[in-house]
Amino acid sequence: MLDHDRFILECRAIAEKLSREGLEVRRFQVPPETPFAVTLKGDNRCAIIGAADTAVELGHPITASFCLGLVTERKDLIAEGQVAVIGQELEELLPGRHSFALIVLAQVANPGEAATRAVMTSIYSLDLLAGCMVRIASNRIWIRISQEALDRRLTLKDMGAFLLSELKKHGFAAEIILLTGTTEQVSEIRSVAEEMAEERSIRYGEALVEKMACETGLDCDDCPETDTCRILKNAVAVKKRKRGANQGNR
Amino acid sequence: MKNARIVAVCGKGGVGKTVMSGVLVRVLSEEGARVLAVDADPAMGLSYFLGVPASIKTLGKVREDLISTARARRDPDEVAGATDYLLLEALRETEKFDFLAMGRSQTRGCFCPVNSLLKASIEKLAQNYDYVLVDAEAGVEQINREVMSDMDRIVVLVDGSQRSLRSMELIQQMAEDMHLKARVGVVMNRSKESDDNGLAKDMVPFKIPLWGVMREDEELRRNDAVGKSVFDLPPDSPVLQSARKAARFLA
Repeated sequence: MLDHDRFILECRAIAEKLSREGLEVRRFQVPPETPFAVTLKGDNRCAIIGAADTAVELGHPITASFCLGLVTERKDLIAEGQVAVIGQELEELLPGRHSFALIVLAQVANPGEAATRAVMTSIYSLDLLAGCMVRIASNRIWIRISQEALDRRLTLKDMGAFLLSELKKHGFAAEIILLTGTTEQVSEIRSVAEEMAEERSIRYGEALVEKMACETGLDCDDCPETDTCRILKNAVAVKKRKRGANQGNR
Repeated sequence: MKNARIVAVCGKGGVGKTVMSGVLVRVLSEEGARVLAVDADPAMGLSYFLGVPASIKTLGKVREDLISTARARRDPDEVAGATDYLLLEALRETEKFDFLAMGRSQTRGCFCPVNSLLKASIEKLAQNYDYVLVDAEAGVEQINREVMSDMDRIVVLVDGSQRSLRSMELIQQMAEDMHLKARVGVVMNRSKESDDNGLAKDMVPFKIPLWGVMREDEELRRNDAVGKSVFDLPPDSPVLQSARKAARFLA
């Protein structure tokens, strides 16, 4: 069982602090049964949005960026169905790169590793939106929004609402926080991300300490990194599965 | 989605692969094609010739980051997702072409599955282009192992020396052994012959068609001496004219 409850409380405290400091907070309650109309990519899922076609870039590697998926079994910790946009909306942002954080607070009966993975998979579903390209690595999220999507009036609120509907498919009650601001404001989330990473590394670290020093070269039978290789092999399988699913959707 | 044409430029060391790759990138992009150039040589000569800053993230670094991610996060889904993130971070986008450099990985151990991960992401990325042009340090087996599973065209550079012709035969043999579907053609570089037909006849015993002849180009030499890119060459430069002819065989 994971203990994300304190991280959820910390995130909420940070959001309130930013609000008190003058960052605008807009909260939207998304009705649970309302059909959500979005434009999806359809059969063009592998297309990247090139730099030349990008109007707004959120969380580019040279900016501050955080992406957290937190799970809890406590309903009282989640404002179910709420999307909070802290800072500027897409249409208010100047063209270019902006620091960004996306926080998903999800409630589920069994908040374990599998639930966290399902939350992260749901976040990837933002990549289904037309004019929106999403990449995630190590608690960072990088989103490119095309000019065409802005012209269609895509908003962070819409993205949050779409994410809620995707999370619901996995059985989550959820709340979404999307934050745009200065590097310093977005970096307020850093402490939570670092604590989470530390907790995670403690969980896995002890078993790995002896395996880190690879001295044996290319012999797989003796290589202490076989476990890392296994994870990489499983990642290849995940990629192939996703690719198959994409082709099946066409 | 596009069905990118994968072109590998191969040949023995020093035969002019990087120049050929660079001029092909310029020629194809000027024809309106979306081109992804891949510098598979750790020395990264193509980036220099194309005018791409040397301080870019290489696929070697991406490989190291993926191994670090696998070690630290222990989650295959996360590693799979991180591959696309890191690849996009390594992609240098310009107005005329996009660019990836293989570089070199410092991590010990083989971590063979990383190559599969990267290949899957590169193959997905390739769908956004008309051409993926790979300047290969070694032969086709390196491209097959690290970049793409298959190729459509293999351009083999030769310079008239016996060693370059031997390399050409080995590359052709390797392509056959690996059951690649690619068409193979030869470009004769630094030719002093004035008769292209004569050169084509010389290639008949090798059963590989001659796709082009590149002659000595003083403009190119001057350009290179002052560190200018291929895009600084005048449009009527001999090397560009030769590349335009060779590019017809890639379509």
